[in-house]
Amino acid sequence: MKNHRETQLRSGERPAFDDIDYPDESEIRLHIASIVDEALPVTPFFSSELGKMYRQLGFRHLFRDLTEIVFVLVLGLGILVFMALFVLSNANTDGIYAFIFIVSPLLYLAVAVIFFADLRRRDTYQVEMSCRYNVYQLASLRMLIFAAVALVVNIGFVCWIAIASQQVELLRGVLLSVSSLFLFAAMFLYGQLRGRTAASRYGLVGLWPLLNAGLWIAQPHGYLSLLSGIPLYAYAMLIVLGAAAYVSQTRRLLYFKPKLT
Amino acid sequence: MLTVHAVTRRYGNDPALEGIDLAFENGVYGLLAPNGAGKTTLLKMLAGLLPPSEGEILYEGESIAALDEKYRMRLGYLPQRFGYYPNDTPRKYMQYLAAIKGMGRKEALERSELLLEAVALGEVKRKKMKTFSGGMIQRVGIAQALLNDPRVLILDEPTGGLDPKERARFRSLLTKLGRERIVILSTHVVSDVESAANEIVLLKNGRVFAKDKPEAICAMLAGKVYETRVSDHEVDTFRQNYPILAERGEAEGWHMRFVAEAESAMPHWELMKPGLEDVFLYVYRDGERQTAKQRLFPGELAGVREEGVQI
Repeated sequence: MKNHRETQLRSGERPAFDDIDYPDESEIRLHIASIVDEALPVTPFFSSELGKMYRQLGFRHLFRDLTEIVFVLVLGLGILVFMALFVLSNANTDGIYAFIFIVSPLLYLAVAVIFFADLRRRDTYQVEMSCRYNVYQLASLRMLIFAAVALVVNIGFVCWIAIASQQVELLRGVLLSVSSLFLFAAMFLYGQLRGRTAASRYGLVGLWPLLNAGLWIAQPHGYLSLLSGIPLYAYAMLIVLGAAAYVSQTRRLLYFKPKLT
Repeated sequence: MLTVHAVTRRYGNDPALEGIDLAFENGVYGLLAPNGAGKTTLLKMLAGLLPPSEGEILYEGESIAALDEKYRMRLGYLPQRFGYYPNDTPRKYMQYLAAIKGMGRKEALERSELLLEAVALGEVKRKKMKTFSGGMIQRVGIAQALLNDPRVLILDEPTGGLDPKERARFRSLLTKLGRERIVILSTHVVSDVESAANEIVLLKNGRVFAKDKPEAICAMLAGKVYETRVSDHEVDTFRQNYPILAERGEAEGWHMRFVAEAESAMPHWELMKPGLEDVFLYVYRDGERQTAKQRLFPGELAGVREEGVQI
C-alpha cells in the first residue's frame, strides 16, 4: 500500500481516497488536540481547566473508592459531633465565636492532610504522575471541592449554633467561619507547595490552632473582643482576600511540578 | 523523535548520569545496565517525572517540560515498582487510569477490555488485585502503559516477575509495538532485549557506553570469546588471567567461556560467536577500571562507544 502510494505521488497521480489509511481513534484525538492548540495558543482559564477535568473524571474518580468516601464521612461526622458537644456545654457567647473561628478549618484540614500525607507515599504515585492529569492537578480539583463541602458544612453548623444558642449572631458567625476557613486553607496550600520538608509543610498547619488558642488563653478578653468587635464588612473583606489567596494556591497546584527523586 | 541532549542528572553533588546524548525513533530500544547504573533515573527523566540537572529532552523538537500535559498524553509509562490499589479489580484500575489519561469513558472501557485480554488477564478482570501474583500485577502494569495508545512507551524492568512463557509473549508484543512508536525498556536481563530490540543502549558509570544494533554490540567481542576445558588445579590461575563469562563444573575439571586476545589464543581453545550476554558480562565485570581501549578494543569501536570511557 505504502509503495503504491509513493509511486503515485512520484508520478503526480492523485491517490484514491481508499488508498489512504484511516487513522485510529487515538491518533484522531491527538491531531484534533494539536490543531486546536496550534490555532488557539491562549492560556486556558483556571475555571475552564478545572471544568474540563471534572467533566473528564466525573465524581467517581475524585475519590479512590468507597472506603475513602466512608472514611471522610465518618471523620466529618466525628468533628461535627465534637463541635456540637463543645457548643452545648459552653454557654459563653464570646467563647463560641472564638471556638467557631478556631475549629472552622478542622474538617478541611483533616481531609486535606490525609490526602497530602498519602500523596507521595503511595505506590501508585509514579504511574499517576505520568498521566495527562497528574496527581497535583487532581489535587487542585479535590481541594476546591473539599473547601466547598467544608464551607457548606460549616455554614450549616453555624446556623445550628445560632438556633441552639439564641445569643449567637448568625451573620457574624457565618462570616467568622468562612473567613477562618479560607485564610487557613490558603495558608495550608501555601505550606504544601512551598515547604521543602515535612516540618515546614505542616508547620503552618500547627501554627493556626496554636496561635489562636494561645491568644485566647493569654489574652482572653482582648482576643474575644477582637473577634466580636471587628465590623462585619472587615470580615467580608477578609473572606474576599482569603478566597482569592486560596484560588491562587489551587491554581498553582494545577501547574505544580514537584521535585522528585 | 525523542532526543536527549547533553543531559546530566545529579543527586546532591553526585552525578547519576552525565552528558547523555541519545536519539530515539520508532522502534524498540533496550537500555541495558546492571542495577544502580542510572537506568531508572534516565527513564524517569524521559517520562518527565524527573527534570534533568542540565541539558534537555525534546519530543518532536519541543522540550517535554514545555509540552507538559501534551507530552503525557502521548506517553505510556511502567515504573520499576508498579503501584496499584489492592482492593481494585484490574478493570476498575484501568478505567481510573484511563480517566486520568484523558480518555473518554467508552474508549476507556473498550481499550481496557482489549488490553486485559492481550495480557491474558481477561478471565480475572473482575477479581481484586490483592489476590494476584507478581507476574499478574506486572501484566496489569504493561496493559495500563498501553491504554492511551502512546507514541512513546517507557518500560522500567517490565519483565520482573514474569515467567518464561509470559516473557516470550511479552517480547512478541514488544516487536509489534515498536513498529509504530518509540519503545524504551530497561532491563538487566539480556534475553529480554536480545531478540526484540532494534537497538541496545549500554550505560556505564553514568554515561552512554554504547548505542547500536544488537549485532554491532555483539561484534565488540568478535574473535575474542573462547571456550575450553580446564583442570581443577589450573582453574584459579585461569580465572586470574582471563575475564570469565561463564563456567560450569564438570566431572573432570571445568568448562570455561572467557575473553582473550586472538594472538594469545591456544590451539585447543574453541572460538565462539559472542552473544549480547557475553558483552554485558564483560563490560560490567567487577573491579575493572581500565578503559575498553586499553584492554581489548584498540581503535575498532569508533562510532560505537565514546572514547576513553572507564569500564
